[in-house]
Amino acid sequence: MNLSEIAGTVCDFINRLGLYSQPLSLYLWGYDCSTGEYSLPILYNLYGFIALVVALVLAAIYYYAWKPVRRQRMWWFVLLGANGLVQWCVAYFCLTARLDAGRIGECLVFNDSGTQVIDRADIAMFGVVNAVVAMLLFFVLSLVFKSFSSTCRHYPF
Amino acid sequence: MSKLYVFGIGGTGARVLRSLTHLLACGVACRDTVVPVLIDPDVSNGDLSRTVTLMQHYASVRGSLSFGNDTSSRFFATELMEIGHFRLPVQDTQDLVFKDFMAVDQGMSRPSQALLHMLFSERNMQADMSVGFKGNPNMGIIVLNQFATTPEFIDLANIFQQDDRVFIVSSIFGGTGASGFPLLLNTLRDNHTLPNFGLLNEAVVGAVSVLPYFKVKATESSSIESDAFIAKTRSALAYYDKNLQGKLQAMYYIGDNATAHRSYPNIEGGREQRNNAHLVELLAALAVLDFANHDFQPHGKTVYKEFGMEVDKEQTVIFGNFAATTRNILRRPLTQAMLMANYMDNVGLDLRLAQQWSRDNGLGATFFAGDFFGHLQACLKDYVAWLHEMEDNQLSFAPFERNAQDAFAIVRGVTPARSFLGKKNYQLFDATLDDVSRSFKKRPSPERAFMELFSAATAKLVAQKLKY
Repeated sequence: MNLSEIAGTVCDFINRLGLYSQPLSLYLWGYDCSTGEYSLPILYNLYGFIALVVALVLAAIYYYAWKPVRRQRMWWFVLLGANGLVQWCVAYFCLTARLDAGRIGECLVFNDSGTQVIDRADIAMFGVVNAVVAMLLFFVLSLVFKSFSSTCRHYPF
Repeated sequence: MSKLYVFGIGGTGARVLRSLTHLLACGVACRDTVVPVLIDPDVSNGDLSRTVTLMQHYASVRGSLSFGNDTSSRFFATELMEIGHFRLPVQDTQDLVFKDFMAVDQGMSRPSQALLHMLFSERNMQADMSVGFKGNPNMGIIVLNQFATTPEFIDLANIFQQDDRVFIVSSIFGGTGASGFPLLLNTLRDNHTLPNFGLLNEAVVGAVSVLPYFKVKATESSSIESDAFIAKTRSALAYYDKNLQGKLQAMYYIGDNATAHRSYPNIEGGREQRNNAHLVELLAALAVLDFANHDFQPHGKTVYKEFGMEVDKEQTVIFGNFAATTRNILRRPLTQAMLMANYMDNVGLDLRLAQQWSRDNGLGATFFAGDFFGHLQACLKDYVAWLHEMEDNQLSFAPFERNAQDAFAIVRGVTPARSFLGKKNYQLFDATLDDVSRSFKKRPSPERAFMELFSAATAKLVAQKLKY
């Protein structure tokens, strides 16, 4: 596995729970219906990068700018949740815009019997996975950042 | 380090020593180790008990701290050395009237009895001495004459060393103080039987004599009359002028025109004699510190000092009313201590335990429930009470707001700097404590860490918000 596959691999691992469809996963890996190859940009990387940046910014704000001295644990969880919510919104609205614009190949959107597989509900579930990954990133970054914090070294624990 | 023996004689002596203890706790500088010695025959005197209790709390706090080159905290920096529970006992005054103390009716010759009846009134003769001499220095001079032979005074003389100095605090208008001061001074100068008498005889000695600064309500049952204060002051001053010349190196006088001010209840002594603190007592304590922090020639001419302020009798004195020298001595340490006291009152234990400065320095629930913190809280509680008493007294000294909404809007006459962004109030206090904690290179003991944290944080906040 190389670096460009990390985000997708993590999402696929979580998706063993079957939260979103295989065709959506293929699209996110960059599958192009017209060529039959993985020639499109890997969207997992885009959403992974956005999740990393947002988690980094929020963790930095919490530990080094805001530095709360009251209800520290509560605010950490609030930021954790906010981070997840933001990533869900990014994934959901970006992908539904692509779906509505016809940018997701029909060979992925519909199955052999003509039933729509990639729909808003499916995209919403991918949003959940994206949010979980983002929250995990925030948690890991917290473990690193908290050591150097002057007020929140003991939060979340 | 050299020692400064501070004798506090009578009720005023006890109250001045209370003020001195608070100033030292706040971190006002003192060059020497202070050895407080209270002299009062009234063993249950309220003022005396309160001062002794405070000094014991101070000594307990101080005993848990160490002050090296890497210590920046000045809170409790001066050592208060305890000798004999901070008291010099006066023997044979409990449950005894003056007449029996002198054994008038126990084999004394008739001419001697007649002489004594001439010198002392019948009221004096029948006076119960267990509450002191009730404004009669003529009695005090007889009874207190014994203290130089007490084991405690001899122990004190035994540990007296070269470069140690003596300071005597007394009132001039009472009984115990007015008689005790010249007696003690003459003992130090003229007694050749005490251990180290050579050092004592040559020691640098200073004194503050407190002139009338309050009056008491006229009561028939009491032998204390404030109408007599001025007359007693005049005669005592005449005696000092004639008999104490050249015996001390520094003489401080402080007083206030008592006629314009409120009367205290007329309590002759005992547990109920517990007057509210007064600004004059704080200023008398400054005399002790002035003496401690300056050099005086052992055989030099007596230096006389007075304290002056221009205030109206109805005015409330704040820091801004002092001249720069006094203001610089008092303002910052008292403000820092007030901030610390207010923090303890306004930030509950749960919040304190959630802070990083608390967790990183071992300042958990055990610390806050422990003896050190208990003694510190007792000192802080009395500190706030002391300030409130001075505020409620006349002449009122009220440098701090009592119920300020903002943690830093506590100094009267000073508007704290505002910031629109950033933390405010006690959250800023906690953030500052966290920053100070982070700067520790080595983790000290919890007690020392606590004092270093609050000393550095309050210093930073005073500079940042109050600009001094």
